[in-house]
Amino acid sequence: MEGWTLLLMIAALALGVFALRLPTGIALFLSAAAGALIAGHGFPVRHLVEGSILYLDPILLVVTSLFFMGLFERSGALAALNRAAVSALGSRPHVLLALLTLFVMFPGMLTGLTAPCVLTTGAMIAPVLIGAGLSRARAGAFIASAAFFGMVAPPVNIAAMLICSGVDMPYVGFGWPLLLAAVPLALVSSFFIAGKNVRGLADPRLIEQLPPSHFARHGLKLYLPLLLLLGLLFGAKSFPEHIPYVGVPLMFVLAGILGLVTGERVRLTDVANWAIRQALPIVGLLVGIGVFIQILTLTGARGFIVVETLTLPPALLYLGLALLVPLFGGVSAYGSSSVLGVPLLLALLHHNDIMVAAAISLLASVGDFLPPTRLAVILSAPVVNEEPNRILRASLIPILLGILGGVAMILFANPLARLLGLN
Amino acid sequence: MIPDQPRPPDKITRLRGACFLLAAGLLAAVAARQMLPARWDEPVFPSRSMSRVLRISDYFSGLKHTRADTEIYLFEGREPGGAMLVMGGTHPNEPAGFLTAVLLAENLSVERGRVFVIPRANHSGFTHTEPGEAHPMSFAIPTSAGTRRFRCGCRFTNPLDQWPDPEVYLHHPSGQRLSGPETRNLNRSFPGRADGNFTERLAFAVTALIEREQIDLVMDLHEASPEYPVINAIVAHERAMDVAALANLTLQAEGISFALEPSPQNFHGLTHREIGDATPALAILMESANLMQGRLRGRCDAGLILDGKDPWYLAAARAGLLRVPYDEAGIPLDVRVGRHLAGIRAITDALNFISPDRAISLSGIPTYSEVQQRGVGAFLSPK
Ligand SMILES: [Zn+2]
Repeated sequence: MEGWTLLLMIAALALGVFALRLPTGIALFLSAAAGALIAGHGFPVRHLVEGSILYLDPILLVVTSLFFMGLFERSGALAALNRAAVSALGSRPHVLLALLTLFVMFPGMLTGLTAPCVLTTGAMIAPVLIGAGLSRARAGAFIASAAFFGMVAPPVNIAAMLICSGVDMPYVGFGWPLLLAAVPLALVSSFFIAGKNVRGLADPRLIEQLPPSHFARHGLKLYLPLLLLLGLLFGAKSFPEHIPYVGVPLMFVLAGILGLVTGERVRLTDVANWAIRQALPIVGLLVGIGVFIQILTLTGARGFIVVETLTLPPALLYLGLALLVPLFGGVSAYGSSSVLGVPLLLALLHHNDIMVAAAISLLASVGDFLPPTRLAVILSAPVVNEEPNRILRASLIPILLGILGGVAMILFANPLARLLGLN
Repeated sequence: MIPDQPRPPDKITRLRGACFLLAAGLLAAVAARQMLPARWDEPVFPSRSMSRVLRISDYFSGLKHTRADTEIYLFEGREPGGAMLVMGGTHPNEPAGFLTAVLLAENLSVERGRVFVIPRANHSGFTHTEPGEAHPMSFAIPTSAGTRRFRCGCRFTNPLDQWPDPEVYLHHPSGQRLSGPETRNLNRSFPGRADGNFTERLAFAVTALIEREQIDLVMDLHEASPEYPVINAIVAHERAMDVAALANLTLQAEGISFALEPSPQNFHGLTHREIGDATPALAILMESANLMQGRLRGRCDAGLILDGKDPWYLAAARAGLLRVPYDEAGIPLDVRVGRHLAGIRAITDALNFISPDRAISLSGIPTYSEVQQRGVGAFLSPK
């Protein structure tokens, strides 16, 4: 029965997305409602609503980071920052490319999410990439790829933390394994995606193509919102007894509001409207994912997925890991790491648990590229003005590297752990 | 790069937007109505030998008029002796722990020493359910005086009481790093602090109770999923190990098998570690196996809490994935509550044997086989 429910939900989702061309969020909601009905739960209002708030915190983060970016761009700070970066490092394009990758990864390292990477630092560097000659699809793939590895990179990897809380393991000792899982693969991916255009970054004409800077008029004052944001983020982490933790969304709002007085004149309502419009499809998607997961759990389809994966014959288990964890991650990376990751870790106890948890978090995060949600791709589409599917096709390298890297980390968990001094 | 301003919406788009808003509002209103009962405490009918009802805010006034404040049932024997604290509902999504504490409060009589029972240790966690887990909001137990409903809550404090979560939870005072939502996990927040967050203040109040009432023995009642390594277990702080080991021998003789686990030295915030370290009390935690908490379960409803039967767990058991024996009989609530009650008796007896000057003598607790024969409902009739 649970297997049939799952099949029906997937079929309904495919029908909604491909045949009826509904927004993915709405298709997810409708297929969840259909699944509940067929499993004999009727129209379970409580579960549909409860699932919709599963990702409330990421939703707030998406809306507020867009608000911050809108103000940062319109105040003129973004153009100034881009010109400064290119003129400082344009002569060393390979270093610049590596730094751009790390720059996009940065918000993900602090929040464990792809959304703030794509929507803030990713949006900041998109004009540089396109100016350097990358196609819009490749620029989108570059941003999505760096965001994906930023989500995996330490210190904050929420997928790994969820696995830890599921097996009562402190989130300790993950720094090196996650760094190993994220940074080399991120750099390799970036050079694969953008390598051909690396010389474009050194082209003196690049600067002319970037939007005009207002730096001369406003000076360093332009960067105050960014400084306030970083101050709030690091302040609350470094001095928790003095600076209260207000949550990253509120930090984005406060820093954004500062942008009203640090550069070009901006109308608050314009930016707020713009941020909500940009955020709506993503918010709808996150709401839909939450409802879909709640109904998967309610009907037992979740248990079906977990037990079928765990009872695969040993030879197929690694193949299952390589395919099913990212595929479930296509619904939700967090859902995949907590639902599949926890029992898988318990089934792989003869491997070093820290390496396995880090590897599963990498595999589950690959799901951010994969259908039905394609979150990283959907997020970067408006940032580079390109069709999501074209960006997806350009993202093949990070997807493959993520999967291969994750499986390799599990296969060689024990020697790698010894190498890193984890045992 | 920021894309251009989209065109302002036309009439049809506005109308469609209004319809969506209306539908969402309607769904939210219906759901709110359905979730409202989670705010109301189910009645507890303490046994006649209960001396007094206290509140946790009596030990830390900072919790007055908050959703953390919770009832404590105090039983005082005529003879002086030791003191014991039994906590249920530290995790409100673990029904056997909660129900065992309720059953204890409704049946206990104490001849010697003092017993404190807290059925809803994280009271705030009882007022909501965890999104994504699709847990039932309550379950019903038939009794001779009619059906009684008990809530099934969430492992974590209600976000309405404590929010937002940091990205990483730093435990005080050890500095241990856990995932953000664990900030709202009472059993990761001990020993707590008076100026900490909501959950840390609650843990602080419990620690204050233990110190002020000179509690000798703390028993924290839990459940865990059948695939979890520490299951059907007695977890004991190193100072409580003698008592726990002796109790385990008694339980084995009765045919009830528990795994005896030492409290990990380096895992912080849990009752059996921090209460044992911070106070003179002996700290013990008991776990039974609850399918509803697991990730392998199929369909989820209140029936799963009561009978503990699930086809997917059966398949997993046959594949050797579980840490507890599991067959067609399931792991019903009667078994889990019976195990907890047997554990409480055996541990109290062991304490009495090891420190006779701080003895506690109890009666009225049904035996394991009595609970199996008559069901928990037989011991939950309002008197
Ligand atoms: Zn528990």
